[in-house]
Amino acid sequence: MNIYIQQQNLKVGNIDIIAVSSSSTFQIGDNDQVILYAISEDVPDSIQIGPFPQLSRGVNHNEQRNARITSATKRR
Amino acid sequence: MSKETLVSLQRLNVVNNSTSSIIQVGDRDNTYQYKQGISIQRSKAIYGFDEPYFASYPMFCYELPPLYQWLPDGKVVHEMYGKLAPLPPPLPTIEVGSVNIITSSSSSNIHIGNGSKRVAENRQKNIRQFLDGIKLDPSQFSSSS
Repeated sequence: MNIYIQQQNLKVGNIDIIAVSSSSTFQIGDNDQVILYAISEDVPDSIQIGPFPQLSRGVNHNEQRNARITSATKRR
Repeated sequence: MSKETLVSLQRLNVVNNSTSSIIQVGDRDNTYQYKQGISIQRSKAIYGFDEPYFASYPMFCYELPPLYQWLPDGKVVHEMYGKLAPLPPPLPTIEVGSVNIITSSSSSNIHIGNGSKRVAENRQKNIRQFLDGIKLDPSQFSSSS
């Protein structure tokens, strides 16, 4: 893996993040070396295998999605 | 980008930052974040006996595998903007508009700036105990000491 580093300005607009969890990292900038370990032991009941339920993103998004679904069903 | 960087941050909104996690604006050298935890969910709340020890479980004790041995060799090329174009080299800056983060937890890291070396380690064990049908006597569990 080859890395090209250019010394320039770094401009970032807006960022929205819900969660940064369990030895994960969010960085704006440079870094030399990153090692992230996460070890978890849990009961088998808590294991979830996908597909995961989608989080609702608000009323407008759902309306758009429902409209898309209804238009798709009408086409059939 | 060099280690002397100006950071201009308009707005940083973090609701929750917990359990050995860091928020930093600026440069940093070495970081080692460590978090270990045992959570026990019981069907019945009982008190009056010893808490569990981390040493009882081998997952808190064994050494971590060195991850860098799996990475192939590479090269890092530093290029100055001033060398590419006949312009005065600009002052290296990071300009960030707004950052909204709801939660960061369990040795996680929010960093706006440059870092050198970072290791984050998180060991978590979850236990569920079902105590239905077991008669509990507090004197039975109380430690002799």
